[in-house]
Amino acid sequence: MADIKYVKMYNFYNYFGDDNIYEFHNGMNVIIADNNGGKSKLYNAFLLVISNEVIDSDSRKKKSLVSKIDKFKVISDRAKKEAEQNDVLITGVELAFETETYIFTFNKTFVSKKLNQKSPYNLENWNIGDLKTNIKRKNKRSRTTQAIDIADEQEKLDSLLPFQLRQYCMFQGEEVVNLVDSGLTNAINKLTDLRKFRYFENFLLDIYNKFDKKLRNEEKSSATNQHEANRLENSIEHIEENIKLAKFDLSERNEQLINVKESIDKLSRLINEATKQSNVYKEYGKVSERLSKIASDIEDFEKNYNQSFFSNKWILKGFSEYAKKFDLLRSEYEDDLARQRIQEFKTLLPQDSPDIPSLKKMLEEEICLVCGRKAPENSEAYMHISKLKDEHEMGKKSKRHSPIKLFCDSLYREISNIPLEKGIDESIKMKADKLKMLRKLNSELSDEKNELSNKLITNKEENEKILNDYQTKVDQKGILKKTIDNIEKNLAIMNADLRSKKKQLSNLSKNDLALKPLKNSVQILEDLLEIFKKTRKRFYVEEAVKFEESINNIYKSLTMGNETNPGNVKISVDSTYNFSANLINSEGGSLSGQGAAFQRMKQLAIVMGLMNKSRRSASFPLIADAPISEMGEILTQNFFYNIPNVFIQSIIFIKDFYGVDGDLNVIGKNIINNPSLNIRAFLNTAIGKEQHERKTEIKLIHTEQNGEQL
Amino acid sequence: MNSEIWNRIKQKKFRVLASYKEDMKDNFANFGKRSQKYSSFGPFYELYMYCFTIGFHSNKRVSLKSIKTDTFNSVFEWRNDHQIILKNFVTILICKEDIRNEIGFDFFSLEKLNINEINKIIDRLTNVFEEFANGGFEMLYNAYKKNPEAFYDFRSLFSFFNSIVKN
Repeated sequence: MADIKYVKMYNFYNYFGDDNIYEFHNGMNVIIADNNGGKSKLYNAFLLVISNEVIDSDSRKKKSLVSKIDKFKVISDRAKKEAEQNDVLITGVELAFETETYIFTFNKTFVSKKLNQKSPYNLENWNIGDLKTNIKRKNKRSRTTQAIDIADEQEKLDSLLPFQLRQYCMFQGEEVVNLVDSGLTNAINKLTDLRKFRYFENFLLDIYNKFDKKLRNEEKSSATNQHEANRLENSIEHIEENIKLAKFDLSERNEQLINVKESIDKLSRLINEATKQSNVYKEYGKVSERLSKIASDIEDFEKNYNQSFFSNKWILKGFSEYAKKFDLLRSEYEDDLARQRIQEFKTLLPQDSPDIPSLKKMLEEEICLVCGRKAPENSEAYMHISKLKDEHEMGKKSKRHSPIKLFCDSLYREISNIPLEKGIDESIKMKADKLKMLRKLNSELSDEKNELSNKLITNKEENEKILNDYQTKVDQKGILKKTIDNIEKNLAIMNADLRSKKKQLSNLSKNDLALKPLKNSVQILEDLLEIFKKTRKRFYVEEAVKFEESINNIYKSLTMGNETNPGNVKISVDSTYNFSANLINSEGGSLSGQGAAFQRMKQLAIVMGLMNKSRRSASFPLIADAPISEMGEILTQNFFYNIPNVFIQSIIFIKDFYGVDGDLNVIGKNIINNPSLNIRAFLNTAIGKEQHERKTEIKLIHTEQNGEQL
Repeated sequence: MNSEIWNRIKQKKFRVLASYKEDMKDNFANFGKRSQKYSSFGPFYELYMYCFTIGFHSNKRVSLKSIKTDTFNSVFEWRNDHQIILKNFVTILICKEDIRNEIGFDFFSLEKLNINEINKIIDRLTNVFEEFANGGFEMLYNAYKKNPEAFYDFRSLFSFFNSIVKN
């Protein structure tokens, strides 16, 4: 019985500073965080304490913190940035767990010193010490504390998570697949007594071989035809040697086949990942294109913003009242014109008379042909005739109207179309809204791009290599199966031959009666061996059935309420005593094409089933980084409701409860606030956009005591 | 259809104080340039029209007598929609009684004048337009000299305009 009390981190990845602590309770603990919110780094903290390793974020492989570069990667970038010359940083993890009698504290840290004022991100500018482990044990009754020798580290850790069960209590989402597919046989063998069958079988075979050899020697010495007996004995020994070699070969090939199958399993998961990656690449490309388009739109928008002064007539803002003013002015002018025309009609000649040629003639002859009076050049009369001629000429061009009237009308036409203030203000607002929309879209797409960028773990070349490796392994599997088939056929032939030769040797014996007891013993041993093999097979099948029943109970609970039929888990055992788990429909057909959600539930059911089988599961905590992801509300709820049946203490990291506004989403709230689950919940926030500014903030948002969200 | 008087205005090459044009053209009219540090217009005449509104709304005029001036594209070369806006500006000036009195503009009285006399009055009207535009230039120039960074943002010319129109 052990439960984890707390995990504390010092400048450990994005956990900047020394105040990063998760205090857990002896029930369900949930850590909710978005991408980059510190989930994987917390998992690394557990890994570091339990196995002296961390998962390298570049290669995604587990690495011991031995090399300088690996340790440097662990140090918080913000801590690096804020360090001055000669500053010393402590980086690492402290974990405490409690058993019935003791509280153990494991502290694993290393020290680093900034050597100069040069770039903090360059490894050369740091001196980094070794990873040091300090273990303390406090007696809960006597309250005395004592240091524990590092040589006893694993033994003490076993009281928290026993080595052979560790992988079933502590895992990241994707690892579950390995545990239950290729690792299923190993797991069942580890947790049951089935493995002992092999020892008994070997023991029985050994006795049989000895009796068989003795019988043959007796038969040979009493043979009537010694020559023939020797020949047969040589032949038997030769066949036995060949059978031995063939069996050895067969066992090697079978082992190879298991390895190849495991590789294929692993590669097919990587192919799924690669396919996902390929889709992520495509999506990343699309988002990048859209982002580039939006960025260009924003640039154009900003560059052309002032064009709205003219295209949207913003420049006429504040002028709309002038349309009315000009209309009044124009009316006055037109009234004046009308009055003048009436006047002219009364006193002067009709409009347009005299005509232009007559007026020209009057000017040439300097005489008014209307009244007969003289009109010398530059005299008032002459100017009057000249003006009349100008007016007529202009009036002809403009079809009656004067240039002033035409000018006035042309001004009026445009000013009467001047936009209203309201229209201009709306246009300004629309422009502002458009900018807001473009910037929002830009920000959303940038976030989307960053998120996709985080998902891009492997590159194209690696994906191609995976596909090639997969093909190679599939080819190898085919060849191995064929070889194994041939060996088995040969073995059957050799065994038949062996039996025949043995019979021939027996027939050569003249003292049949004296050999009868020995013959009986050999026969009994042969029967025993046969019975034993059948019994072993039956036990394996029985174990598979029992396990299947237990797993299906869990699987049903995990998939309960789902509209689609999730099928059942079928546990099979093959001729070489290997277990496998598959989803089947009600008619026994394969459901291998079922969605990832059901496959994951199958895997989790098996993990829980295995832990139940260990009959000690309640004693050990579960530490699971993203055990479920994008499963939908029902399956997610089912998962959380089932965990306490198997694990008393659980520490689960999850992204799915994280809402868009940095709070919990609806499903998150429902589960966290469910009093029966008695959850202690933490919500992580990543502060700082750039890596060197980043700090993961841990906020306790729900405690198990009051059952209310804080 | 354009009137003869409007055609005369279209042939105008408006004047701007030489120093303003020199200092402001590069910064606030980016026609033909790839990148621009300040919020800016395209051709210089857009900046000129903008400055007219600044000067007009602030009732700020700068006399161009005995001052070294420079010119730019004639109105004829402006884009059509910009010419229409200029026509609106001319109309707005005519609407102002003080300006009409100042330049002796009265539609009905103009009827009695010959074309040369009309042109003289129209020239006086465009002079007033130029004085307001140069008044606006002076205001923009002073604001820019006081705090050039304030004009980095692409919306700064609009903000400057809006603050004046609102007042």
